[in-house]
Amino acid sequence: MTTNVERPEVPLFRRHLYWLQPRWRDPGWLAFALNRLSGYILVLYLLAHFVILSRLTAGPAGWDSLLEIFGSQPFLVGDTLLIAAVVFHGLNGLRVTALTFGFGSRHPSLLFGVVFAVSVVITLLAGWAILFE
Amino acid sequence: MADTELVLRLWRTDGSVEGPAMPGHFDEVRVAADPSRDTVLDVIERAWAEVDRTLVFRHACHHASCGTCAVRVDGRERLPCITQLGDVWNGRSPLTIEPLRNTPLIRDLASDPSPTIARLAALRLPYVRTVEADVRAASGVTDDEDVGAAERFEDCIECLACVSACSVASGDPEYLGPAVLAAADRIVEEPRHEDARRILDLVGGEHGVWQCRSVWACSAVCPSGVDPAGRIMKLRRRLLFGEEGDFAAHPSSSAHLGVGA
Repeated sequence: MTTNVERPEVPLFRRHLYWLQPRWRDPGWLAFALNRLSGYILVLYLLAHFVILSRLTAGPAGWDSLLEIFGSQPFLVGDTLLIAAVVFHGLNGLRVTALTFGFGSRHPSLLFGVVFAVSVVITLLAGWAILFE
Repeated sequence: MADTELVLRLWRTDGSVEGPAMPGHFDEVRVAADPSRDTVLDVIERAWAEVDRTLVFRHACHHASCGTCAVRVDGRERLPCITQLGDVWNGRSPLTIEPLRNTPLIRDLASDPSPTIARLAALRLPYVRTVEADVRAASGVTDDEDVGAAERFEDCIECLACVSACSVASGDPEYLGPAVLAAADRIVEEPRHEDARRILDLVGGEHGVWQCRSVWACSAVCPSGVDPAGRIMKLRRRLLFGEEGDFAAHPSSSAHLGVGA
């Protein structure tokens, strides 16, 4: 006996967590999950950026105290992670665009490997420059 | 190789399965198995025959022709009839068998393909096609590259492994799904008197090709090499640029099939 003809309804909460299920997934899943995570990071950063910039309206005193925090080691590590998110999200966006236009569509996982490797290299270089230069 | 004991973790639905919630649990069943000879379907059938006759699962042809037996084996969509036990089982851990996702469940491991079949019917996919070999021969296509371009969608056995693996279908019950979209591209490619414009309007809608997130999981699990994700990307290009169907644009094949200009 069939319960319903339409696909089963998925609760809203689970619907938005399905994409995070690793299971057996191949690199395509990893690319999608990292893309979404980095997207969330960028959105959160944008919001934080606006909030922090609003401190400028309080004058130089308020801003100078923030600059000390920005120069601290944990914040610089955060900067490096932000760069990782920007680079991966951007490059993966180009990958998805290339796939849509038929470039590399026979080897989407290989394309992801290239994007991931380039992202790691750029992040390491940027991290070195930010933390040790 | 001598038989060894295999622990199967089989998904069982609880009681009568009315409604979408489909509660269930895993039953552990012990069966004798020979990883070098048995397929996963063999051990499921053994579990049914020797341990629990109430287990419900679908199967028919036993050789990847009908697509009815598709389930998830340790989380991955597979056709158990052609999955060698030794390829998926390490000889020690329990092997988990679950029904497909994103399709209504009848009971236990048996899922209901009706929604996707109904959507395929809405495409008016012609049921009878000339076999690929005949088309190739009549078209004078000989080299591998051209054969690849004329790859037949009819390789799809409608097992719905792609629908189960699709992350979009998980969240959008109205999403047409990889199998239907691949079929749509195939029809646009070789319309055979169907209205390709109607098909493109259908797949270009709210629950069509633009929902795809390019995860490529559908193509990864397809046991027939249909490459639904690649087809979805082709449909996008057709919608964006109005590309002509590859096959219909091939003069000799168009003449052979009585389609095209």
